[in-house]
This record gives sequence, C-alpha cells and structure tokens, in this order.
Amino acid sequence: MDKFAALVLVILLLPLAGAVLISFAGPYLPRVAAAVIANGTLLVAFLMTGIVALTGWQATSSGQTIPQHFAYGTWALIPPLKISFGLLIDPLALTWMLIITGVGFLIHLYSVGYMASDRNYRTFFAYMNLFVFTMLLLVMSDNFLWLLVGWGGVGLASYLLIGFYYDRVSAVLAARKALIMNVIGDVGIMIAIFLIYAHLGSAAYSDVFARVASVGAPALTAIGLWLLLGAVAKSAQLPLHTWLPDAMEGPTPVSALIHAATMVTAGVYLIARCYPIYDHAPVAAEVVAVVGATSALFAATIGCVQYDIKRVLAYSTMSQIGYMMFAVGAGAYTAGAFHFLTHAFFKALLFMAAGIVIQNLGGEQDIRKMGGLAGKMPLAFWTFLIGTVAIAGVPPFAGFFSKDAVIDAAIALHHPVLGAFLIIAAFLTAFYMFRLLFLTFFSGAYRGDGAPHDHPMVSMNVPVVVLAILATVGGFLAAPLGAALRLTFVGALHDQDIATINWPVAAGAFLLVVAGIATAYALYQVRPQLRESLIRALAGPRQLVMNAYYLDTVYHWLVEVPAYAIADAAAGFFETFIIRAIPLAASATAAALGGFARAWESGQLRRYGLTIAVGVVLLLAWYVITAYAAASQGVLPQ
Amino acid sequence: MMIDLVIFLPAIAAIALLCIPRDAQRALRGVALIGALATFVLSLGFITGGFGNEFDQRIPWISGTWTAAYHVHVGGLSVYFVLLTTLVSVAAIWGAFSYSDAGKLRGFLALLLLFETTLLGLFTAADLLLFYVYWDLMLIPVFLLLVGYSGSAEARSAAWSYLLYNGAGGLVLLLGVVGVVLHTGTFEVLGQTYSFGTLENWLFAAFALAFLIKTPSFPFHAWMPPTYTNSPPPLVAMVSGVQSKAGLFGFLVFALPLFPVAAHTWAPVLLVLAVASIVYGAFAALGQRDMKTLVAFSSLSHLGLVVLALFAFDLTSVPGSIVMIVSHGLISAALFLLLGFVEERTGSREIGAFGGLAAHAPRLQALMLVAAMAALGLPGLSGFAGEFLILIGAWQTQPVYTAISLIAIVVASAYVLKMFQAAMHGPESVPGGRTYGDLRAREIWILAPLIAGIFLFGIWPGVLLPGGGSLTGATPAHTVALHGQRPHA
Repeated sequence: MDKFAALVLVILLLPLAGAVLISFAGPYLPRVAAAVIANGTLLVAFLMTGIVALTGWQATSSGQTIPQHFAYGTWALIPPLKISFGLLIDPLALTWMLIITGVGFLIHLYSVGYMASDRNYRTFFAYMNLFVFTMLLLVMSDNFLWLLVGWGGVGLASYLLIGFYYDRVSAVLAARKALIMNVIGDVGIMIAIFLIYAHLGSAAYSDVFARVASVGAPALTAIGLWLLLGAVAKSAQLPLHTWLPDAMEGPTPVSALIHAATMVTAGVYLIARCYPIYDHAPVAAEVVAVVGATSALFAATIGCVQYDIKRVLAYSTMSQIGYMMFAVGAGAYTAGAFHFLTHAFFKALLFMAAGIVIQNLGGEQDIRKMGGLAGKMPLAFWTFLIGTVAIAGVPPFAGFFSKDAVIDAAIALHHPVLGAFLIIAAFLTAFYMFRLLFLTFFSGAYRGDGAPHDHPMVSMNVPVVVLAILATVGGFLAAPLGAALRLTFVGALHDQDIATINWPVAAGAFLLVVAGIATAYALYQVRPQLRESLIRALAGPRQLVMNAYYLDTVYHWLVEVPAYAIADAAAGFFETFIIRAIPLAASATAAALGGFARAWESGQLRRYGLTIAVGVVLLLAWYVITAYAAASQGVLPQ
Repeated sequence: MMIDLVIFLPAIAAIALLCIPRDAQRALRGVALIGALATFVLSLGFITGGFGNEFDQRIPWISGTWTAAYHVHVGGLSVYFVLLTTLVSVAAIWGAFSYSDAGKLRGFLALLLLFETTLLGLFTAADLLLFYVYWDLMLIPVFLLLVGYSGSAEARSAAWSYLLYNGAGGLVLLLGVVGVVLHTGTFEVLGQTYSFGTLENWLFAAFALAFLIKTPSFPFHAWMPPTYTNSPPPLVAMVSGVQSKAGLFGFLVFALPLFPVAAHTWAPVLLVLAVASIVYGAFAALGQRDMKTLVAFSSLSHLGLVVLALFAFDLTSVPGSIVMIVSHGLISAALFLLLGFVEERTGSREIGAFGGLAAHAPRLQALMLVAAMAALGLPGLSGFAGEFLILIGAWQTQPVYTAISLIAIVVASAYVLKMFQAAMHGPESVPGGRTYGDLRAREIWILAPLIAGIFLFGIWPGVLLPGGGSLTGATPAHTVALHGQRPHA
C-alpha cells in the first residue's frame, strides 16, 4: 500500500476510530475527552482531505495525473462474482468529502455547546462520528456494494440520531419511519445492483461505466430508475419524502449535518456518480429531473404554511435538494454538485442559527411564539439573515450563483415546464424564508412565555460565523469547482459550465426573489390584516398544504393499514386454521393411501416387501398424526 | 479419531455431569462449560489449515445385502455446520448458567450437551444410516428439555407438537432412505452417482419433505412457533441457531447430489415454498406480540432465503447460502439469548408490556441493536452479506421469485424495529418497578463471539469462502447440482 492509499484509508477510518473509542470507553471517558476525540478525528480528517484535494489540484494544474483509485482487498470472490473493497478519490468524491468532514467538524464543534447538558453526551458524539464514517464510505467507495454499505450505514446513523431522545414516543416513531422508508430505498439500490451485475457483469464503477455503451437503453433505464428509488428515499424526494419533516425530532445539530448538509444529498451524489448510466438512459434521467423539479415546487408550497421553525427548514431542504436532483437529472451534474456545496453552507448555517434561537427559548420551536428576537439575539439574527438571503438567491450570496446555474441548465437543456417549476419555487423560497425570518425575529414583540435570554457559547458561535462567511462567499467557488469536476464528468453528454452567469435569466429570477421578499414583508410586517383575510379566503387549500397534501394519511391507509392487516391475518387466522390444519389433512391423506396400499396385491415378492415397508411407515405416521392432532388440542398425557 | 472426539466430547461431559452431585452447582457449571469450550477449541482444528481440509474416518459396520459403515467426514461443506454447532453450543451452555431451577440444572446442562453431540453426529455423518440415526436422536433431548425443564403446560404441549411433527418428518425420511438403499444396496451413497429412474422424484420428495419440516419451511412450520416460544433461551438458541440447519445440510450433502434430476424437476415447487416462507414469515413476524415468536417467524423468513438459494441453481447463490446459514445461526442465537436476558430482567417478552430499557441498560441496548440490525439486513453486517450474495445470484436465474422475496426485507425493517424499539425505547416502564441492571460481564462474554462473527462475516464474507465458493470436497454430483447446469437425465 503506497503512501497515498494509506492516507485516504486513514481519512475514512479516523471518524470510525473515534466512534469505536468513545463507545467502548463508555462512562469511563470524561465528557471533555469524548468531545475532543470526536472533534479531533474530524478536524484531522478534514485537513487530510484538504491535503489530498490540494495535491490533486496542483498535480492536474501542472498536467500530471495522480492516482484516484485505491484497491485494498476482496469482499467476496465467488466466480464469476468478484466484489472488492476499494476507494475512488476523484473530484466528485472530494467535493463531498470536504463538506462531510469540514461542515461535519463545524457541526461537531457546535454540538459541544448545544449538547452540553445532555445525559447521553458521549453517545451523541459516537453516533455523529459513526455517521461521518458511513457517509465517507458512501462517497469514497469505488463500487456499488460498498456504496450500499455506506448507504445503509448512514440510514442507521440517521435512525439512531433521529431517535436520540428515545424516551419521547414521537422521536421513536419518527426514527422508525425514517429507517423503514430508507430500507425501501436500499432495496431499490439492491435491485439496481442485481441488474447491473446481470447486464454489465460487475459491481465496480470502472467496469460498469466503461461497459455502459454496450448495453441497451431499456436495461439502463431500469437500472437508472431503481437507483432513483434509492435516491428519492435517501434524499427525501417525492414520493418518499414524508420521513424528513418528522426527522426534525432529532437534536438540531443532527438536522444540520445529516438532514440538511450531507446525508440527504446522497441521492444527488448517486445520480451524479452514475452519470454514464443516465447519459445513456434519457428516460430515466428525465424521470429524475421531473422528480426533482416537482419536489422543489411541492416542498416550497408546504414551507409557506408551517409554523415549526425546523419543519420549515426541513421542507426547504427537500425543495433545495429538488433543485439538485433536477440538475443531475437534466445532465447538469456540475450545477447539481455546486448547489449541494452552497446549500451545505447556508442550510447548516440556518439550522445552527435556529438552534441558538431554540435553545435560548428553552426548546421552543413554534414561530408563533417567537417574534421580536432580532435585538435580543443579534448573532443568531445576523447569521440567520445571511443564511436567508443566501438560500433565497440574493446576489452576491452563495445561493444566487448555484441556483442560477441550475435554472440556466433548465433553460439551456430545454426543460421549459420544469424550469417554470423551479422559478416559481424560487419565488416561494424567498417568500417562506423571509416569512420565517420576520415571524421569528420581527413582526412585533416577543409572543412567547418567559423571557428570551442569550447565552453566547463560543463553541456554538464560532462555527456559525464561519458558515456565515462561507454562505456569503461560497458562490465564488464556481470556477475552481467547475474546473475540478470537469475531470470527473469526462465525456458527459451536456456542457458542465457553471461559472458563466446568464445575466438575463439571473436578473429575471432575482426580480421574482425580490417579489417574494416583498410579499413576505407586506403580509408579515406591514399588513397583518391582509394576511388574516387571505388565510380566511384560502382556508381550504391552506388546510391541504398545511397537512402536506395528506400524503402521510394516504400512506397510512394505502400501505401501513393493509400491511398490518396482512400481518395480523397471517399471524392469526392463517396460522390457526391453515398451518395447524395441514398435519390433520395429512392424516386424512395417509388414511386414503393406507386403503390403497391394502388393495395393492399382485403376488410379486418385491412389491410385497415395499408394501410392508410403506405400510409400517404409514401406520406409524397415522398414529403420529392423530396423536399430534390430539396434542394440539391439549388432551394428550402430559 | 479427531472427529469422534469432537462429536462425543459433549456426551462425555454430559455423563461426567451425572456423576457430580446435583447441588454442586459450581462443579456442574464448570464441567459443562469446559466440555463445550473444549469441543469448540478442538473443532477449530478442522480449519487450522484453512477451509479446504478434509477429515475422514470409516469403520465397516454392516455387510451383506445392504452395507453400511460408521463413516464420519468433515470437509468443504460440513465444516461450517460443525463449527457453528460448537460455537453456538458454548454460548447456549454458558447462557444456561442462569437457569432458575437449581435442582434441575444438572439435567438441563446434560441434555444440552447430548443435544450438541447429536447435532455434531448429524453434520459429520457420511453414511445415510448414521445420518438417519442422528436425525431421530436429535428429537429426544429437545423433547425432554421442553417437557421437563420449561415448567409450563404450553411447553409440554409444544414438546409433543415438536416430537410428533418432526417424528412424522423422520418417518418420511426413513421411507426415502429405505427406497435409496433398496436400490443401491448400500447406505454409503455419498460421492456416488446412481440412476434411480422414475423413483428419483419420489425419493427426492421424501427427503425434501423431511428437510422442509425440520428447517422449517412454509407450510410445514406448525411446530415451530410453540417450540421456539416455549423453549428456554439456551435451547431455542441451539434449535434455531443450529438444528434448523439440519434440513439445509441434508439438501446440500444428500438430496441435491443424490437426486440432481429430481431436484431440478421439483425446483418450481421448492422455489414457491421458499418465497412463501420468506414473505409469509416476514408478515407473520410483524403480526406477533411475543418477541420470541416474532424472532421465530423471522427465522422462517430468513431460512426461506437459503432454500431459494439452493433451488435457484446459481454459481453465486449456493456458496452465498453458506454465508447465510452461518450468519443466521449467529444472529438467531444472539437474539434468543438476548431476549432471555431481557426476560430475566423484566419478567416479560410481550411487546408493549415493558419498555425503555435503554435508559438503564445501555450495553444490553447496544448488543441488541447489533443483533437486530443484522436480522434487519443492515449492509455491513453478516445478515446482509448472506442475503446479498443469495439474492444477486438468485436474481440471475430466478428474477421474479427474487424480486418478490425483496418485499420481506422491507417488512423485516418494520418487525425488527417493532421489537427493538418496544423493548429499548419509549418511556422507561417495567412491571413491578426497575430492579434490573445492565448486562453483566458473563452475559457480554457469552454474546461477544456471536457479535464478533456478525461483524466479521458482514465486513468480509470472503473469509468463509476462501476457495472462491468452490466448496472443496463437493463431489462431481454436487458440482452438477449446485452449479446450475441441468444434468442430462
């Protein structure tokens, strides 16, 4: 193993080592030590990832090629099946790795303060480190099997952290829902792998992507659609998104890291990673784009009427991932990755600023019980404001550039209807984010109980400020990111330029953003009466949207109720009346056969021998079965 | 000699136990545990040179019109079953230390050890007569343990249900064995190929029925829920962890190589039963309220996958089924022992009757989490490795059946979480107040090897199949039956 191969393996295993160490030391480890281990492993992993990225960057700038692919061993070899363990460290993987370790470190740091008074402080950091490890595995793997291992692993970490407050029934149920829906996605990926193996004979990316051109479109379409099932489950896209709002039951740093910045973008990563498949499967790619754009608009409408600060952010996450999903579906892979990058900055920022507010209000999350907090929590306010303008798409903040890149792609790649969805969603995003901002920090005086207090904690404030800076200037990463990702998306069907801004489109989108902000300002700052009359006039549709279009109810009746009905029927009726009746039915058959055997006389000695053997066995069987029948009624001697 | 020692060491330990006074608890425990541990350590000798070793011993037994031999063999296929038996037996016998009735501990331990010997005898048998003898001998210790050592009327009823259903299976197997021997004139049929003609279909059916009852497979599982539910945890760990593999072993070692043509003829039926077991078992598990019964049905579901693997006749799925067999043995033994620990602490295993154990038993929660996630098929743990290798192989030859089976994976996530969360999470509540503590050191060490195996074979299933799944020791007939080519009738 050469130096580079060892280095990337260490990046992967450091967070795992932290998790294992904290778990095994348990209560013997001082709380501070747990925090130091968790933060330290991530910081080192981030710095090492930075070194790898810079080395690669320098090498390619000077025209050299550096190794990207590292093989370590064989998972299983059952010829013709061979599955290895290897890592692929290309610009796409590095983009995700930098965010996972970098933003991951900032959120770990924030957690030191946010979770300070929690009883299960060490467990929290162990789970968070486990998450980072599995997420790194997901993006670093060089084949589909280990991608799936990471994929399942992040599902487990997400489950554990959603259900972190495990004495709360709502958290337990939310965690269960998230894991079950994610397992549906896992099955999608499993089927995709089975099909990939059947048609392309391997599970390694390099083999699969090299052979894509030799396979017909129908097979690739099927593969693309099954992969998409995994992607929508993990990335909370239609129709498997209903777990994400409930996932807000987890501690706020979890929402920031897993359910905003990193894990939920795994679906985007997957599609971008499989770009050779989607480039050759236009139908599947189109479905991805449709799912993305529809989810973007769908979630944006729900975001407009929610009152829980974290649920608004959750729907906005779903909506923003919709943008990314559309981009990778339309073939603008780099634009999708770019929006992932900026979104990680501003969405983590928004959650963390919201976390400060929630903590200072003693756990209050209902924005109807907030208001007028701008002066009381200046740091939370200013950073939340930066996050809000960044997500809304106000120049020169980060979201402006990346969202523009996605909308440009919609126009350049001829998706007029989906592009319109995205533009409407941009308007709604500006509206609901400023609605949230106004209701939380302005709109009159504080409406909650008790007095809000501001407890500044360095460990929480520092990462928030760092992210605020990144959310401000992150848009200028377009040029280097675009140049780097060109090395991954070699031979992609469409142009991958993200650095050029299409100014007429950008200006038009910006006007809509201004309109969205103005609407929010009018309804929540200037004219509350107008808002009240609007709410009355639109009571019906509002009810529909507030309940997230009743999809939870639909799934309850369409999936959950029938599944449990089948389960109860199997466990009850079927077991009692069919399964237990089989031995009884067998006894009747045996009796009939016994009658046949008696009539079976022909004078042949061999046949007699066989008849005797059969007869003995059947007699025994008859006795056994009748005794069994009696025993099952409980009348046998005991 | 080595093989005999491994087979009979537990029995010797059992006899030694009977020479120790009933109330010498420490001595009883020590002898039983040392016996099981020594057996395990000795059995490791089978893999000192890797998985490819062959151990063989043959002593002529019966000659004349029909010949039989005392022929025992440990090789390519059987070594997995032998090692699984010796490993799970250590955990079970150590787990039996907490058996509540001190006066009966001696008999309890002795019967568990005798059970281990019958299992080892079965898995090493290379002669059909020997195989059949152990097949029926296995019933006795389980029956006695259920009747005499569970203390409930349901357990006694379950014992009869177990004995009679499996006894009926044994009779059907006897019919098949008699048929084979009438044709071949010998019980030493391993490694030979015969042409049974039209009789082959009937013989295979007899073997298959017996094996499906033992595994069990849908719809022959009526004996399983009461047996598993009412067995003391160490017993059910051995029955579910090891004995349930007896039928699968029978398929792999006897039925498939002896009757390759009939195996293909009957494959559609077996595939349907396999898929029915997989899906029905999963839904039936979801419908349970008793955690032990829930795990019992999950066992039905998971072992259905092995039957699917065997009768998909694929190059990958059959070796994959070995991973699944080993993995299921570890997972189900761990789960049943854990449920025993839970029941010792709460006095219940009813979903909803207690909850929130995580608050004061974090280690119990952690180990339960690993076992539960492995049962759920979490990628990275052994349950997934087995499932994945089976399904990716089976998909190549039987995509429709495989696709239907995948439903069970989603249902598994629902029933596993139903059980795990009901026990561990939610507000802490235990009937009669909390008197329990976290897992003790002994309990952790009992589970440690099982949990370690769950991790190891999940991260690296290849360690089980170093020969690339060629399953050294498989006969030419095996190769034909296992490796997908339809033999010419």
